[in-house]
Amino acid sequence: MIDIAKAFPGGPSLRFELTLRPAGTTVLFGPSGSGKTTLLRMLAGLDRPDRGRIQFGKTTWFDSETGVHAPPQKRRVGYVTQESALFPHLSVMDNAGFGVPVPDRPTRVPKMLILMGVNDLAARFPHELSGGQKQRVALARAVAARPDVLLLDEPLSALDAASREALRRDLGRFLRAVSLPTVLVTHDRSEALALGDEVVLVANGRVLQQGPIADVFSRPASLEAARVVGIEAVVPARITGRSEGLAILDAFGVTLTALDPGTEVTEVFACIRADEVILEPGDSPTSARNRLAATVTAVHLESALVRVDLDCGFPLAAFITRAALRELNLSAGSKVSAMIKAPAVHLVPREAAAPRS
Amino acid sequence: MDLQALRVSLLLAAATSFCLLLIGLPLGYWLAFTRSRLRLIVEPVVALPLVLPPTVLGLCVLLALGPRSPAGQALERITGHTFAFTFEGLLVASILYSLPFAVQPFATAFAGVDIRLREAAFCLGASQFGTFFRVILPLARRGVLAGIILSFAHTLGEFGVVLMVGGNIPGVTRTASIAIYDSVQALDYAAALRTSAVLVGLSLVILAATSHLLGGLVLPGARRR
Repeated sequence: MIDIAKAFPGGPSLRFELTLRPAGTTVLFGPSGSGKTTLLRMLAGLDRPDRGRIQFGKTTWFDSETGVHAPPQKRRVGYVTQESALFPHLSVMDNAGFGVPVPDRPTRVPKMLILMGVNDLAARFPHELSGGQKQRVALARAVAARPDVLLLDEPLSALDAASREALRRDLGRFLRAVSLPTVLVTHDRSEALALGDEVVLVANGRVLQQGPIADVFSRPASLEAARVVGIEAVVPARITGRSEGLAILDAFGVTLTALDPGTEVTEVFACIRADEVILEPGDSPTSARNRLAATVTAVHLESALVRVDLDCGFPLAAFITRAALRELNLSAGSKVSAMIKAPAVHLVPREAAAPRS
Repeated sequence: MDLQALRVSLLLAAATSFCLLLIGLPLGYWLAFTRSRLRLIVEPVVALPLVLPPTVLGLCVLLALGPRSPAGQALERITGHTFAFTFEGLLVASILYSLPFAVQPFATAFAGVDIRLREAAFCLGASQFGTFFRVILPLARRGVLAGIILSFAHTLGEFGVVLMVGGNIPGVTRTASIAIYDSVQALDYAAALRTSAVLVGLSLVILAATSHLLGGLVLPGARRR
């Protein structure tokens, strides 16, 4: 059980009060400068909060009242940053074994390297590795030391798109295999959706919202939270069929069509941006793949545009103009058709997720 | 040529370098990473011998270790003899005199090690001590080597401090630089030149070795940083 309450004023003032899940991956999501990294460093014991308390299970890591500040060595955290911080004078094998007692190295270290797919690089030195390979070694090194919790600070963000994609997939498998409670800092939506179970939205040194990842991303609780996540419906779905480059999805009983993401994963998040949703009255004919019967739940006037919240088996939002609003004569309870082109349904494979029952 | 004086010089330089390694590594580490305000005092004190006339330093050591000072009296009780005009006294003075030549390269090299590597080691459970020997020292070893060689060479060439503290006792405190001075005083220019030539040659070899070591002992990965 991870239970954290923390206050941290001074400089740009940060104040975090949150409780993290005892298992699975919690994503700290927010724009740069929101305090995510500082929060993670305070968890690792590398930075010291001005006041407050950090409680990890039954152990107190920090308490300004009693003056407790456990050093990083005592916290048993696996900490991985975007620049892998491998020891340049040690081989991959010795790097990965750094936190492992010498007698256990021959058994534990190769296992971790195999799990991260870098066992054949064991004799190399860090300057002979690519960015992606370095991160794999850094992750193997962190987990080989048998931490109680894994803290990942944007582990993929320094990589090019291709290796980021590959490592994201493998990281998901890796996290599932080692089943450690994990806190992942990121500002990348796809990364958050692919790897996270729960999300904590952070902005300006505050926690805006916390909850299951699909909930928070599709139903931001405040305007500020909506700005952080972007206005986009995030719908858990399952790929039930594939044909001609298209994937057929089942989302809460509603059938959706999207471009096939090309992975074997069947559990996905279908992401639909509000400005890609077109509203039509009645049952006018259309070539759009996705035509959903929807009920309007709310209408929000937002500057030139109007945001219409819909229920079509799952929550969905649409942006329309004020003229369209008058034409369609929409209000809460109105029946409409929501149309989404297949390419506008963006699929994020759920690498880390346990299959939904 | 005064071989006995050369032997004393080399012995003094080696002993000084060794002691500076023991004192300088922790002191350099502290200076590189401390956030304490004490650093504002310690740093200039360590650097003082760079600007102080050797005679001033020598006088201080002489008085501090002399038979009239408490420290001198304590040492006399322990060792059975006074420190002034002995090899041990000379060693103490040399250590102080060469302190910045060891500590500054050490501290610079330690501070140059990426802080993220220290943090990574801490998070992997390595203590401050373990991190120093497993990460910082190996990565800073060129700077440490430079500090040792510099303090060795600097001790080899010192004159004023030796004269003040050591006196001129053949086989004990009479170093090569003093021997040269004596030879010149005695108008024995040939002897002075011979000893000088040995010192020049030795210094050149040391400096060449240093540059070779520093240029050639590149750590894996160090080239990229």
